[in-house]
Amino acid sequence: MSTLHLLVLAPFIMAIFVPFFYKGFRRIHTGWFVLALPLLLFIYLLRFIPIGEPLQVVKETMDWVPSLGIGFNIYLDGLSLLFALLITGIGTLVVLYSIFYIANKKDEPLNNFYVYLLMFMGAMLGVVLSDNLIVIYVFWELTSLASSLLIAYWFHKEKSRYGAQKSMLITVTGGFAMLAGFCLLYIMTGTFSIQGIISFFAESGAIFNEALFLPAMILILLGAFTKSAQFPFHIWLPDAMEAPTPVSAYLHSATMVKAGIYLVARFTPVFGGTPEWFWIITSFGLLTLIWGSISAIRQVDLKAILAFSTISQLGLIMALLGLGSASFIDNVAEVAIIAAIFHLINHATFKGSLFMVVGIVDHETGTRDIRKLGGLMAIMPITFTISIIGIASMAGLPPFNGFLSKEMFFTGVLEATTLNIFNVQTLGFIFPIVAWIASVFTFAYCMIMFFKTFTGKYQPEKLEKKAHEAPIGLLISPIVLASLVVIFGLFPNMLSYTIIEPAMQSVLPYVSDPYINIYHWHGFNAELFMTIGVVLFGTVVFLNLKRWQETTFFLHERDPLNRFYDGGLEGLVAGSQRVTNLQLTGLLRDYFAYMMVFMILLLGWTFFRYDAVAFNFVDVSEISPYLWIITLALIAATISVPFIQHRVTAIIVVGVIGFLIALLFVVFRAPDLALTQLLVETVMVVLFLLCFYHLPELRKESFKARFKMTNLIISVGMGAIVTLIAFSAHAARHGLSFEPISQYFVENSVPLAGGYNMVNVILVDFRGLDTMLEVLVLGVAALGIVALIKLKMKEGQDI
Amino acid sequence: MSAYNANWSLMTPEIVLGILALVIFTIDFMTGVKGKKPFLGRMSIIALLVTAVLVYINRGAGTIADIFIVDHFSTMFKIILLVGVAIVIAISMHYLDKNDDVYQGEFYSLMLFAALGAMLMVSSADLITLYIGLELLSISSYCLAGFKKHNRKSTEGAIKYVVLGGTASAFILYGMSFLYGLTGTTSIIDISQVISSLYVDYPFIVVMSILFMLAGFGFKISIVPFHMWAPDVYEGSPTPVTAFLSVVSKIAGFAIVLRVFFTTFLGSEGVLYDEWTWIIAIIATVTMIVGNLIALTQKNIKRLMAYSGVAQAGYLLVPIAAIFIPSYSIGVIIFYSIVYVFMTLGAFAIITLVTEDSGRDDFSSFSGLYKRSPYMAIAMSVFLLGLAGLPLTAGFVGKAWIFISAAQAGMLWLAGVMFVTSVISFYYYFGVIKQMFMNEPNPNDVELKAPLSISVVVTIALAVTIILGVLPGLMIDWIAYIQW
Repeated sequence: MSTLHLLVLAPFIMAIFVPFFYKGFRRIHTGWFVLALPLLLFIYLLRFIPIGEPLQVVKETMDWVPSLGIGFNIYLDGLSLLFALLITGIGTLVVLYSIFYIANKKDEPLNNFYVYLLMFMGAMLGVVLSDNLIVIYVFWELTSLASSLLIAYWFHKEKSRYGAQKSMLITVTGGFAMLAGFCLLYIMTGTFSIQGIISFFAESGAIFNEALFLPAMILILLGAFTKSAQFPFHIWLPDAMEAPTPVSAYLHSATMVKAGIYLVARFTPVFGGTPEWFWIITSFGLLTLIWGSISAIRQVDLKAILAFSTISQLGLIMALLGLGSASFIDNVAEVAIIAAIFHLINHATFKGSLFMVVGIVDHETGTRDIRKLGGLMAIMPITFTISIIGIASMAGLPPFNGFLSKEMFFTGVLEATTLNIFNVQTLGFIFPIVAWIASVFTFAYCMIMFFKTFTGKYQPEKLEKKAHEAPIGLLISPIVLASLVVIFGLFPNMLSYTIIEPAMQSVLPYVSDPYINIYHWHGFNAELFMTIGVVLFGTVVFLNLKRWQETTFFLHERDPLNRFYDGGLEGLVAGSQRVTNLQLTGLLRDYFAYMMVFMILLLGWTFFRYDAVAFNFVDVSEISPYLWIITLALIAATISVPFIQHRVTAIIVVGVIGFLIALLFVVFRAPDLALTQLLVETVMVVLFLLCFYHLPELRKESFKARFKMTNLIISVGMGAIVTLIAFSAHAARHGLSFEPISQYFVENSVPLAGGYNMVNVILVDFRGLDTMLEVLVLGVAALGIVALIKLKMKEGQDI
Repeated sequence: MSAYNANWSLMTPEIVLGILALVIFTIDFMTGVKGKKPFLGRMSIIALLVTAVLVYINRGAGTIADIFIVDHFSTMFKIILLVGVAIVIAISMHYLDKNDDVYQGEFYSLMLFAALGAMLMVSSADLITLYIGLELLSISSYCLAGFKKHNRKSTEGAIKYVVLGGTASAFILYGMSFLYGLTGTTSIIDISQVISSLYVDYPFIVVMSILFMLAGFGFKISIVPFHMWAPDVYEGSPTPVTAFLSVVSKIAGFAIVLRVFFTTFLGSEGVLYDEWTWIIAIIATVTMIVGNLIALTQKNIKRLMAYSGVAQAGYLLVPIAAIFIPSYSIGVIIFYSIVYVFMTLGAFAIITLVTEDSGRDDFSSFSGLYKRSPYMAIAMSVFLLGLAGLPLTAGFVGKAWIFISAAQAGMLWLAGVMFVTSVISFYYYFGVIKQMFMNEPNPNDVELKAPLSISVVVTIALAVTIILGVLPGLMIDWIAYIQW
C-alpha cells in the first residue's frame, strides 16, 4: 500500500465519515468538510508534473486476488496524471460550487450527495490510475453507479428516476461488454495488466490476425462509447441533466464521460495502427460530433444545449483519437493526438464554467428555458463576463483556448486526408467537411446560448424569481475556470511539455521527442479560412434560426433515438410476458407436456445419433396363446382408463390391470409373485376406493380437439420412445447375460437360513428388515387413511 | 464387506444430526402440539452448528465400503449446507412467531431431516445411498412446502411439487437402472472404472442413462425445462421454506450433479464428457435466457426470486459445461455456491421481514423501505446487486470467475449468453432497488423494527457478501489450490 493507493482510497474513507459530519455538525454545510480532500489530493498530484525533465512513471503494486492474476496495481504516467489532475482539480471547484448551490435546508440529504460524490471521485481516480483491467472494470461500474445515484438525487421527480435508470442501464451494459472484451484480451495474452498487454502485443507483432482481436476491440469500444456518450448511445446524457448542476458540471461534462476517451487513449498502443480501430473510432466520433451539434440547435433548455454540446465535443475528441491512431504507421497524424489531449483539457475548463454559469442562471431566475430568459447582461454582469469567455472559447474564437484546439482539430482532419493508408485516400475528404459543418452548428448554438440568455428583453413576468447577481461563493469556481480558459488561451505552451507531452507519450509510446508548439497565428492557411467560414455561416444559421428549426431534418427536441431505447424496454417486457404466458399456466399437465416433449426430443435425437434402434428376436421365448390374450386385455384396459368418466369405474379398471399382471406372473410360472401382486392389488383397490369415496366429485372439463390431439401425440411419443429403448436395450445384449442373482439364493438358502422355500427365506431372512419396514409403512398409511376418514364422520358413526 | 469392520466414525456428523433431530422431534411431542417453541429453533441451530463443527473435525479422507465417502468435496458442501439450513432456521423463527397456524416443532425437525438427507447425498458414493439421501431431502421438502395447510397456494404448490418431484425421481431411478443393468453394481466408483469400455460397446444405453439422470437432477436444481414447479412452489411455501428450497435444495442438487457427472460419467480421458457437455451447455443457455426473461415481469418478490434462482442455476451450469478440468470447475462452483447461499439467504431474510410485516408479497410491500429501515434497504440492495453480479460484491467475483473460465475454455458463445442475460437481470434487480429507494412508503407502513435473529442473519450475509467482494483472495486462493 503506497501513497497513491491511499490517494484512490481516500475519497472512499472520507465518504464513511461524511454522515458523521452531517449529523454531528448539522449547522455547518457538509461540503466544507469535504472540500479539503480533493484540494489536498490535487496539490499532492501537482508534484508529479515534470518540469524540464521527463515524467517519472510511478508503479505501485498491491495483491488482491493473486490466484486469478488480479492486483490493485497503480500505474501513473502522463495520461493518468492528466486525468487525475482533472478529477481532483475540477472536483475541488465543484465541491466549492455545490456548497453554495445546494442550500443546507432542514431535510436536504446532503450526506447522500457528498457520499455519492466522493464515491465517484474515488472510483474515477481508480479507473485512471489502475493498471489491472479487472480493477479498472470494478471502478468503472462504480462510477456508473455513483452517476446514476447522483442523477436520482432528487428522486421524487419522475424524470430524475427515468434518467437515472437510463444512464445506469446503458452504461452498465457497456461496462459488461467492456469486461467481456477484457476477458478476451486476457485469453489472448494471459495477463490483466494493460502494460503487460501492450508489451505482449509489441513483442508478438502478428497478433492482429488473432480471431479474438476484433471481438475484443469491439467489446471494449462498446464500453467506451456508452460511457462517453457516443452515437447512438448518447441518449442517456441529455436525460442525465436532471442531476443537480454541480454534478452535471463534474460528471457529465468534465470527468466521467471522458472515461471512454481515457479508455480509447489507453488502448491505442494495443489496437492502434489497425484499419478497424481507425475507422470505427473516427466514424463514430465524427457522427457523434455532427449529430450532437445539430441536435443542440433544437434545444430550449440551457442544460440540454450543453448536454448535446458535450456529446458533440466528446465526438470531436474521439474522432481525433481515431485519426491519430494512424500515426503508428504515418506520423502525419500525430497532431491529431496532440489536439485531442489539448482539447480534452480545454473542454473541461470552458464546459465546466458554462455548466456552472447555467446553474447560476437557474439558481437566480428559477428557469433554464431560453424562451423565458433574456436581458440578463445588465442584471448579472459577472456571470455574463464568465459566460462570454466560456462561450467564445466553445465557439472557437481567439484568443481563448478553444480557438487553439479547434484550429488544431482542423489541422488534424486536413492532415488526415493526406494519409495514404486504410483507404483514406478515397474517403478521407469527408473528414474536413463533417468537421466544418459541425463547427458551423457549434458556432450557431453558442450564439443561441449567448444572445437568448443575456441580450434581448428582460422578461421578469415569466421568471419564478426576481433575477439578481449570484453570491460571490457561487461565482468563485466559474471564475477560476474562466481564467484558466484565458490563461491557456494566451499561454498554451505552459501545458505543452508539462502535461500534453507526457500524456501523448502514453498514447503513442514510440514517439520519443514530439515537437509541440501551440500558437495563435499560423498565417493565412486553410484552417483560418475554415474558421472564418464557420463564423460567417454560423451567424447565418443563427439569424435564420426559426426557419432552421422548422426544417432541421427530422430532429426534434427529444432525440428520435430515444424511441429505440423506450421501445426496446417495452419490447423486452412484452417478450417476457409472452414467454411467461406460454409456459407458466399454473397447470401441472402443461408442465408435464413440456418436460415430456423435451425428453422425447432428447432421447429421439440420441437414438438417431447412435443409430440405435435395433430389434433382435433371436433369443425371445415363444409366446403362448394365453399370453397373447392377457397382453391384449392388458392393453385394452390401459387404453380405456383415460376414456372412463366415472372415477370408481376408472379405479376398478386400474385394478383390473393389476390383476392381469398377476395373471402374467402365473403364466410365467411365478406363483409366489402372482400371489403377492394379487394381495397388494386388492389392498390397493380397496384403499383407493375408500379414499376416493370421501373426496369431492371430479370437476367436469371439456377440452378442445387440438389440445386432446397434442396430448395424444405426446403420450404416444413417450410410449413409443420407452418401448424402443426397451427393445434396443434388449437387442444390444447380443445374447449376453449376467449370472442371475437367484443363483446366490439357490446356493445359500439352506446353509445360511435353513429354509427350503427360497421366496420365504428371502422375505423373512435375507431381506427380513425390508419386509418389516414395508409392513410398517403400509400400517402407517392405513392408520393415516383411517384418521382422515374419521375426520369426515359425524358423531357416533363408525367405519 | 462387513458392517462390523467398516469405519463408522466417518459418519459421526450424520449420526449426531440424526439423533439430535429425533431428540428435537421428541421434545416437540412432550411440549404439546401448538404454541411457540423458540427454544426448539435455537436447539436446531445449535444442532446444525455442532454438526458442522463435527464435519470439519472429521474431514479426513475415507470411505465406508464404497457407499459413503468423506473427502474435501463432501466436507465443503456439507458445511455450506449446514450453515445454510442454520440460517434458514434463524429466519424461520421470526416467521413462525408471526404465523400461529404452523406447528413449530415439526417444522424444525423436518428441516433437520432435510439437512441430514442433503448430507447423505453429498457424501454418497453409491447410487442407492444417493437416492435415499435425495428422497429424504425431497420428502421433507414436500412437507415443508405445504406447511401452511390452510393456505390454498401453499397446498397447491406442495401437491405440484410432490407430483413433479415424484416423476423426477422416477427418471433418476430409470436412468440408474440402466447403469446397474450394464455393470451389475451401484457403486459410483466401480461404475466409473468400467464406464469407458461399456461406452464403447453400448454407447446408446450409457448416454440414455445419463440423460434420464440429468433430467431427474435437473428437476431438483430447477433448470429449464424442469423448472416450472419452482415459481408455484416458491410462491406458495412459507417464505423461509422458499429460502430453503432455493438455497439448500439447489446446492445439494448441484453437489450430486457434480459428484455423479464428474466421477462416473467422465470416462477415461473424458470420452464421455464430450457426449453430455454440449447438452448441458444448451440447457444452461436456455436456462439463463428463460429464467432472466421471465423474471423481468414478475411482480411478486418470491416468484422473482424463483426465476432469478433458475437463472443462477444456469450460471452454475456454465463451468460444468465449459471446462474439462473437474477440480477447477468444482472450485468455481463451490465459490459461487458459498456466495449464492449468503446473498440469497440475506435477501430472503429481508423478504421474510418485509412481507410478514405487510402481509403482501408483491413489490409494493418494498416501496419506501429506505425510509422505514435504511439498513435493511441498503443490505437488500447489496444482495440484489450481488446477484446481478456488480463489482465489489462477492457475486461479481463469482460470476467473473465463471465468465473468465468459460471464455478461457473457448466457450465464447456460452460466455456471451451469460453476459447478455446478466444485463437483462440487472433490469429487474434494479426495479426492486428503485422501489425501495425512490418510492414513498405506503401510508400505513411505519418504521420497520427487525427482530434480533433477522438482523444477525442479514449482518452476517452482508459481511460475507462485501468481504468476499472486496477481498475475494481470502477464499479463492484457498479454493483454487485444493484438489477436489
